[in-house]
Amino acid sequence: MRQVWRNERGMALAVAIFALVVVGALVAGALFLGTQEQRVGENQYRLGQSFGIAEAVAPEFMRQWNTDSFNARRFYPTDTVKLGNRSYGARGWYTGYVFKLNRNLYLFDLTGSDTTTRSGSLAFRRRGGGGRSRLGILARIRPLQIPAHASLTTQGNVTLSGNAAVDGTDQIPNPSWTTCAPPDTTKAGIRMAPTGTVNTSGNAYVEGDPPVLKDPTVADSTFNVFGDVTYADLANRANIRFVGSQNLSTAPVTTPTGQCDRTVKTNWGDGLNRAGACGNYFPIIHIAGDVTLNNVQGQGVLLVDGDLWVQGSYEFFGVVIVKGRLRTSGGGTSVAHFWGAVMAQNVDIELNNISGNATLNYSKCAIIQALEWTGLGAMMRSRSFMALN
Amino acid sequence: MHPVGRRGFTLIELLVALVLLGIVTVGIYRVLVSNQRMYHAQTQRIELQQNIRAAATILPAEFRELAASEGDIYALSATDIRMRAMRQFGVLCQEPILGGLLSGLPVIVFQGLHNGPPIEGGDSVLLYYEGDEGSRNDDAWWPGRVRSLPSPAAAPCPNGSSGIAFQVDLQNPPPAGMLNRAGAIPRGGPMRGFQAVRYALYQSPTDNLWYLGLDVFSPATNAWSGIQPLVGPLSGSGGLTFAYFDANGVVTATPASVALIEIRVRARTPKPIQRSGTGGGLATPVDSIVTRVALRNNRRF
Repeated sequence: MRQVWRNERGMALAVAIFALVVVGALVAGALFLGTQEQRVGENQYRLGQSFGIAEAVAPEFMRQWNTDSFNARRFYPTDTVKLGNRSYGARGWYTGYVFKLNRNLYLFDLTGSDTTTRSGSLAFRRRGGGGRSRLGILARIRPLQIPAHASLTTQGNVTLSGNAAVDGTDQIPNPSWTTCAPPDTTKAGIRMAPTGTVNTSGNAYVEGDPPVLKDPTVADSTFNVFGDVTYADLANRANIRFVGSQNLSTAPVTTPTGQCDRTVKTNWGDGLNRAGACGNYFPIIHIAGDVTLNNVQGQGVLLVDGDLWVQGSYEFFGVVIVKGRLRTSGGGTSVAHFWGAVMAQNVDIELNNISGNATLNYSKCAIIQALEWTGLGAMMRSRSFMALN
Repeated sequence: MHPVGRRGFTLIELLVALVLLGIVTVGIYRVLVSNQRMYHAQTQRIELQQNIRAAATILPAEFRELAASEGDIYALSATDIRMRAMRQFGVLCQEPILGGLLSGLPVIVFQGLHNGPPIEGGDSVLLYYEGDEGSRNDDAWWPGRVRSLPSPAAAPCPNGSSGIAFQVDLQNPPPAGMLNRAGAIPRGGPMRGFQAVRYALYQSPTDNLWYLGLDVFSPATNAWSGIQPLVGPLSGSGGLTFAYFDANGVVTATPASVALIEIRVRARTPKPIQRSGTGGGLATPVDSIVTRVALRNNRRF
């Protein structure tokens, strides 16, 4: 008869289970550490990608500087440009803010994130997956190196008649220019090549320190190369372009809702009333030909490939560069035809019927603001980069 | 005779069971030991990699913000660098009074744009110097130190937003080319706070191991605080090397010319681990990383 043992007391099963538990715990621990290490490595990789995106975006902003978005803003904390989530190719995303710190300085607060992090699930992000990197970039308006050391700079001869005047005294255009610094030292009235002559007749006069500066450095390049920007570069950046000879009247134009209407080509800003809707609109205007201006006003940077003839009571605030000759006549009730600096390669000023007021007034404030509002940003000279927490 | 109630094993059975149990126990022991060694080795390797990763994260982050051309590197060697490490950022919300004032310059920065640790008395700062706003050529940074009294404290900016007010003693006399005139430091100008630090290869006297050490300059005592281990252990006296290159990629020893720094970190596991394979014995695995960092804040023109 076969025997059945009912009370077997072996320990192999218990030992095996114990061993399995211990081995399982060690394997689980090793697996956990390995997984953690892999996650850390992956996150490090994504962090590097995110950093690369945030850093790569900044030069893009500099390259495609948007004067309407950036220059036209008010200073922090009144105004801030918020950058929505934007794609950076297939590599990732970025977002952030742009703060205008003062007339010349901007802070780009940029946060980059890689594609995996951006598209990752909430659970992925909750467990710490992915990487983001936040950088600050300081930018500064790159002012044009326009050698505006005088009210009028020219290579040609100058003739003033009637009540014409060229004044190198630094002046603030009118009371609506409220952010101007105190007037700077007086500049030359006319700066010209040593061979140039100035003829005055009637009540015309030239004023400045000195009234006429004969400068041997005045050459073609004076009118064509401005630091690292050329006349052609400026013309390419123009907001407003005219081709062929023009006879224009320009004045500020607003939309029915009271906004400055920048789509109108004869709206060249409002230097007579800086508090107006177009007060901060400083376009770059390029005229590929001759132009006659008669009524009312404009501001910014005016580039004329041919001759410029100003009539009536027209006023312009900012920088004028004329490749041909400059002629002014009339004057009407306006205080001056130009506030800022005029540079003309060939000049023949003939003034008639001006009721005793100056015609060309040097204004550092008008120059600086025209260049500021039309200026493009660049990384600061040093210490533009910073890691933000 | 009935077999019911029979107890015990024969000697043969017992011996067979003991032998089998011994074999199983030895097998289990070897598996356990092997697992434990693997676990230990993996932990050590992870720590080694974490050390390398930490060095490769900390040093580039510090070096990236250097402006060597502006004097941010005080001294350098193959195993040692003394430098300004940027710690704070702020933006002035009002133009400080200049025109002769060099000590106790009143400064208020926007609370909303302040980044980094709180501003404290004794902190070293650099104030942006605009000079002529029509030119970038004279833009620079003016060094100074935050006064301890009165302590930096919350104060409103002129436009009503929250600010932090403190006083700065500017370097006296002004650095070459800088004029102490009104408007030279503008409203909206940035401010950087920095700490003088030293990163160097360091051998700890307690365990004789080599580390990446950090030393911090204390403005209060006007002396270095004493180097402390930051990352390690490194593989030895060759565990950390720096190489410095100028803008043309040529090795340089001139602090102001440095444009790129190469970092070589060679670390070891904190504890020896068992060699794999039949050779046995203990070993200290070593791993290394080489990274090059371009200095982002050097003068551009």
